[in-house]
Amino acid sequence: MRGTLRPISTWFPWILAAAALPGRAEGLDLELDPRLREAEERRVALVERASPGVVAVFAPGGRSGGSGVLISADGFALTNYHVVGGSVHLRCGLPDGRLHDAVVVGLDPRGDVALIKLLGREEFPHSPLGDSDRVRVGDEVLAAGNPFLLATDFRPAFTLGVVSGVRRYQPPTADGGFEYTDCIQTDAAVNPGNSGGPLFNELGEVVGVNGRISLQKRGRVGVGVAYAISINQIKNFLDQLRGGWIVAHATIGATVSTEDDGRVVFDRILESSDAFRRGLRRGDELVSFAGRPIVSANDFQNALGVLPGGWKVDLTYRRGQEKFSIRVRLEEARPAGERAPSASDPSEARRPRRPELPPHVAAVYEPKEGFANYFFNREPRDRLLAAVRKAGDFSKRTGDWKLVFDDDGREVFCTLGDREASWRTTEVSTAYRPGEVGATDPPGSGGLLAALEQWRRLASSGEAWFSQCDFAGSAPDANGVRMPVLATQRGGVACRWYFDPDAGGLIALECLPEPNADPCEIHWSDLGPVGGFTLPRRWEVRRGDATYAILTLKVAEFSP
Amino acid sequence: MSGSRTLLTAAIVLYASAAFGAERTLAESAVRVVKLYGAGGAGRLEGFASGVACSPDGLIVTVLSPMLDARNLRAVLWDGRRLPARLAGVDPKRELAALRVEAADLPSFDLNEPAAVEPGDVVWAISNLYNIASGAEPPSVQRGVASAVASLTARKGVVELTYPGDVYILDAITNNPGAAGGALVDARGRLAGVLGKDVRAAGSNTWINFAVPAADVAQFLQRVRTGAAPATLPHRDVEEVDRREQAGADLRGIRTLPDAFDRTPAYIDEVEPDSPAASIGLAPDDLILLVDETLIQTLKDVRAAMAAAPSDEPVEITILRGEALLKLTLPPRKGSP
Repeated sequence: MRGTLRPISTWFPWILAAAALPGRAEGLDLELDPRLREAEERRVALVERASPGVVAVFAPGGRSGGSGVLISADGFALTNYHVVGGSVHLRCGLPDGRLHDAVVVGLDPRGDVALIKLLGREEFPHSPLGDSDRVRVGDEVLAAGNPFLLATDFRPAFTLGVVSGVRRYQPPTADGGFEYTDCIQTDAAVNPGNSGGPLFNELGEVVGVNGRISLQKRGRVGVGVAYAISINQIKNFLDQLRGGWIVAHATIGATVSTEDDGRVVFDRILESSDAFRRGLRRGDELVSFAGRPIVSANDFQNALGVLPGGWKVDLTYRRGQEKFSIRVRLEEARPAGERAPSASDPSEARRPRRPELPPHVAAVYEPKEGFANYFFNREPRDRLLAAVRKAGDFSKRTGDWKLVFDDDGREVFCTLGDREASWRTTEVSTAYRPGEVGATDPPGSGGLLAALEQWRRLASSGEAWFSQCDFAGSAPDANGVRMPVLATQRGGVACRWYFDPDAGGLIALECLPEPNADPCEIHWSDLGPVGGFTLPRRWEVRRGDATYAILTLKVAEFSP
Repeated sequence: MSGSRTLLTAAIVLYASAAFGAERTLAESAVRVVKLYGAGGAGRLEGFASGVACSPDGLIVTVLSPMLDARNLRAVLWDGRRLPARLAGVDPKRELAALRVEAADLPSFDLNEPAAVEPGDVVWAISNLYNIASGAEPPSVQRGVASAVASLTARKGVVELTYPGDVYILDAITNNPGAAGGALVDARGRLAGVLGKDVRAAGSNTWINFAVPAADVAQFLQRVRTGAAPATLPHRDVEEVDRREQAGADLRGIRTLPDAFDRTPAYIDEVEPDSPAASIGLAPDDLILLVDETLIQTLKDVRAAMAAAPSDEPVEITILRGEALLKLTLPPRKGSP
């Protein structure tokens, strides 16, 4: 047997030597196909290009670690949640041999992703992000990182492989609760220490973050089965991660199962869910979700798992012979046992006591409930608040606001004030006391008066009036354009404020005066002069599937 | 020498260009690999495997395993169809089995046109390893090189299996749960072989990645079609071996705690006097971590690993004693066969 296996040791080094040293091959009197030399040169160039942004990540004390990849010149890098754990401060080695301090920025405990920021350099080398939806089975990929934490000079190891599978679903692990949805499976060697490192495509773009391997019964490493979190999933959460959040994945408030005939059918649905309010019922067959056809329960887990809570997606279902398309608002899933954002979370107590942070790390770290590092929320939040102020200085206009709208030929008189807000037409006359819980007047609007009051407060008082006022990442509009979002809370009223990604101005508000209901939506457009300010004149008010009113702002008076 | 040089050059070129245009070839091959489900699902026996569709009318080839000893054997096709499968023939020497499903339009490999693989050729292994894919999800793809065409004497537990003829030895790690029975294809998508079962090479006692050549598979199918191949499972099969691995392992003088829990930790409770274990100073409360390269987490792992080790050869055993990690060589019993 030993004899028959000898060809492995004779053939293999030959191939490797020939491939690695094309110049030498001539010395061995081998004729190399020019295509081979080109392919080899391309690969060497790719490794050289991709190397500088690969990070060796160490927990302070150096007892454990993993890998990461820089994705921006200002030092933001991706790694795994399970590499960062409860650490705030990390030490990161770069291939040029320099060691940098880094601070945690955002965490995705469910998806096993962490965003960190390296400190101490003006401009960091970094890698571009690719499009993981375009990755195909059989594509060559390179995994990079620091397997077994062997690289004392921080130069990454590259392992070559192919894509073994795409859109893989790996259910939550028993211990950590990490769920790998829509992930990329590769046979590139991935070992302990590779965690958090990049998976590169042939262009040197990051298409995934390596984080999980199949071992099962043998306890061996490197069995040719590794999983990378798809970069497109990470992109969906990136703005929120940059805002310092511990992010939450989405739930639709319903579960599906695959029937014997292959149909994917909703088997449970919560009455409080948006999908239920949009008409979805138990027994309906799921046809497509978030732009993807669904043919298995895993398909649905994959399509849902890559989305953050708070987003709206299209869903098509079949009931009998008829097909229905709805747009569904996703809720945040914070399952029990997840390292959720709460100071009283028991897992928080289990975290090791934080050692004192070095001053330059402490300067960019701010703990806050629900956040990995609130320091990074301040800048984007203040940018959105500045955009509100830019529309007009209402800080001295703290008295009553009187607005006159045209509603399809009828006049609406609206007064907003500290003690009361009112809405009068020839048919309806309603009032709302700010602070009143669950007020959804005028009837059918879902809380337009409450929404207007929140708007007055945002414009005149800014963040000071709210109990919570945070940058909440971005969410796509119906055309997929990502809008920055500001999330506020005051007096039981939750608001999400959407901003124009280019012009910066406020373009929409979702206001929810009561839980588990459809919010009142205001969509603003047509800026023009009103009451001495430049304001949107078209106010489209919607609730659920219905348009409540399309209002035109005619007159406005903002008393000091 | 010049002949092998040409071959080497060709192999390198193929390797370099293998990834280009592979997508379509792989997609076409993947639909010809089926997922098989049968007996097992407990302990070390998986209830799943892979199979290769070899005729449009529903002939599937896989490897012999206890998984097939099931009344409700099922094949899941590329499109998610789940069909009952029955045993149509076995080749106990090559450890192959043929199954039949009722299908008229099964995408299948053409065994009249098998690929002949030479050492150095790029090959693709397509299987449902670890049962990662379910329903209509495509199986997993791994790329490798045929490292050798060689005869194989393998070991499954304590039983030696000698394959007649040569097999393909692969550098891709195909020795994984559920991979056996999958397809080995060449760069053009022709069937080169069927992935072999998870066995160790008898000579080195290391896990070995191999495939049974397509030509042998074709011959076997010929016998199945003519009714010359038996259609019942041989009883000598690995099921028995696995039972022996679990129960009758000789621990060479190590006495353990009663195996009372699912995951009883592998502490040594007592050491038999004058035994190999005593001769190297193993002591009560030593925790066994590794037997050869096998990671030990429970008593069951110890028994399985010891049973799998050749009884006439020393075994490397790694233990934790207090805070010290010790690697010791446990000799075989004197006078062992």
